[in-house]
Amino acid sequence: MDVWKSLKSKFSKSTGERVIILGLDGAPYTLIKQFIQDGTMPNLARIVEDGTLSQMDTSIPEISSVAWTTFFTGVNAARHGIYGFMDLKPNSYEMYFPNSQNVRAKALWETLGDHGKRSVIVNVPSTYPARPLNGILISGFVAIDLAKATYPASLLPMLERVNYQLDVDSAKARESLELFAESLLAVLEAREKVLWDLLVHEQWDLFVGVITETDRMHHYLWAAIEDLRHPYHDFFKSFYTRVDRFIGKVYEWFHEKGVFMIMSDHGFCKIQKEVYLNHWLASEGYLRFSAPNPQSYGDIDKVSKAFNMDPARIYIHLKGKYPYGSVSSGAEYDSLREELKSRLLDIKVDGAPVIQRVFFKEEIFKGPFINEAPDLLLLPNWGFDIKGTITKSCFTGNSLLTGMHTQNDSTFFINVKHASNERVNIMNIAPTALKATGIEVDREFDASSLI
Amino acid sequence: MSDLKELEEKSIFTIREAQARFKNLAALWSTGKDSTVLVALARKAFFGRVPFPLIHIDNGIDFPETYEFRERLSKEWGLEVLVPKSIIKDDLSGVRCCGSNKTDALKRLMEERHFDGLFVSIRRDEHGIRGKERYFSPRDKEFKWDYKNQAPEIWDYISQTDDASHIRIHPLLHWTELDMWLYIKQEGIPVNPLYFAHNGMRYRSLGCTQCTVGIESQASTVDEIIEELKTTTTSERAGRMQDKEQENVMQRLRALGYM
Repeated sequence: MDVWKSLKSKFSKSTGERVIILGLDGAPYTLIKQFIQDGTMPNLARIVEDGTLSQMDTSIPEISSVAWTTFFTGVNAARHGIYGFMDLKPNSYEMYFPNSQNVRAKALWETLGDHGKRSVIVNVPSTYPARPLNGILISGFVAIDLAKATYPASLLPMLERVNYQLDVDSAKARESLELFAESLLAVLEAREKVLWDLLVHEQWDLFVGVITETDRMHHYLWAAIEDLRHPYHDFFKSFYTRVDRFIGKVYEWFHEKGVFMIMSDHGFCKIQKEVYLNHWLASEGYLRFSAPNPQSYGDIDKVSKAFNMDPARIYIHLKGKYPYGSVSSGAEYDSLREELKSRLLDIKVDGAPVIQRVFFKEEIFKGPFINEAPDLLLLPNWGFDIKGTITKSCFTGNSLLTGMHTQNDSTFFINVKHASNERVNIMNIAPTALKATGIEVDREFDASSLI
Repeated sequence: MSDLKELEEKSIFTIREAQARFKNLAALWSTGKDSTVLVALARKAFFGRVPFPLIHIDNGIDFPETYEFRERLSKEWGLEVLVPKSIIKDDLSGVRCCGSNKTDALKRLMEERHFDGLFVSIRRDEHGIRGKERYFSPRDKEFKWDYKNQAPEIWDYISQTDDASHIRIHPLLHWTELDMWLYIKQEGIPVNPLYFAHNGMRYRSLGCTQCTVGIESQASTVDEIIEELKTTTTSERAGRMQDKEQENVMQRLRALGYM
């Protein structure tokens, strides 16, 4: 029987298509559309003629760790287990940073590997430390140590030779935007070198390459693209022209050889105000700290009923779930959620409502790890960047950051015309890629293939 | 500075109390300075003979100095040392090699030998989370510490929860890093040579070869280490990658406006 299985996988290997997915972290559909029209991205303008460009919805919360994990598993967070960049350890207030070891669903490339297909995966967030696979993987954000980010280790000398950086040092932007802009270019250059080298020299059935620098630029320089006189306006556009050149080069080399996709994990818009929700919870009596200047979630007092974690995840302080939990499950929990929902929707800053929608966890998530999910998830209106900080003693503010993520404006392109009329969700990508490689789906996704 | 005599008395009291109340005790001995001080205190408490076995979890990738030190001291002090082997499943992650691998090996041994109490030489000043620890601290079958379920610390009352698999006993909870070295000096306790500077580097906190990095230091005697500690501002566990990597992650997230 195993012989048949391996013969079958050999057979499908020769008939299935090869798949390239290029990721542009944080590239909004509306911006890409604008750059296609105004000549900033001439290659992409030509490429989209060969297929379908769509606006895509991403995960909630709309941050890289959750969105990318959803992308590469094709399932929602209650099945893969990643709800944010940070989380609290079970039954404690101790923070930890989920990484690839905490991802509890199979990655697309792991399923492909089971069928004898080889993958090259470069710079996808939430894959650190690198888990062994059939192929090559270099982890993306939040990777710290290059050696632990690289599988197999034999790749390290090449990466070191081209001075491959896992990420740009974003803290530099706080010292000097000039330095920041320079390092964006340097990091992009090395990244493109590695992507190209692996693309043309390695054997693969699936190739996923992500460019993170777009997201980093947006966080600090989003204001530049909306303001023609901003000193970094031209830099912003030229950065995209440069990314466009790389996309063009890859497409020219590959096109007609298989399925080609471009995607982003979320969109971006300009920040009007940062909104510190824990401050609101505290001033409305839902949250109290046992220390005058709270530093960590460990300072949450017994009487607290709810708290917020980045970006807009509200957790009810449940008895039995937290050491000092104060809210009983059942009626008290239900009515507290209803009360919070209606009060949150009423929050206004400068006369404008901050929150567009409030979801209960069961409206978004379904799966074995739903107990770990935030009890309420907020979708802010564009411009209001909700923050989970507990150290701010004010309700709103502004910082050096000028761009924030959006949930309903990600980019998706596939070189297949009229792939589907349905609105695309980030969960559609993994089943689509799997279908393209010619493998019969033997696992359950939370969305279906677009082709 | 705390009075060493007082620290010692409190610890010896805890050790003796445990010996009187538990049927089947053991102690974790990493060969690091803290657990070696614990062994020295146990010898003092029971007039030169340690009445329970020591457990050194061996993942096969400890430093050679550690193995040598373990052999030398166990012979010299007549110690019974159990060496459960932990298997490195995945050498890519520091967190995983310290977490599940070592815990699994310990779990297997605890089940096999039915230990009901385990001495662990943690200190409150080591790490934020350890500040909440108790001298007698129950662990459930999954080895989880349920600190919501901790009884008040009363000397003649040791709390037991229904699903407790064993109690962790922490006789050194009230000591600081500096206290340790002052006591080592006073008592002439042998220490693992990795603590002393070699080519400008020494280890301040010991794990296995995978997750421990040295600090820059010239301190090559106990006295010099004591002097160094009196002036240092960095934390003891700064050389442990587990903590260091977390800090690094935090910085990166902060730079992008998270946290």
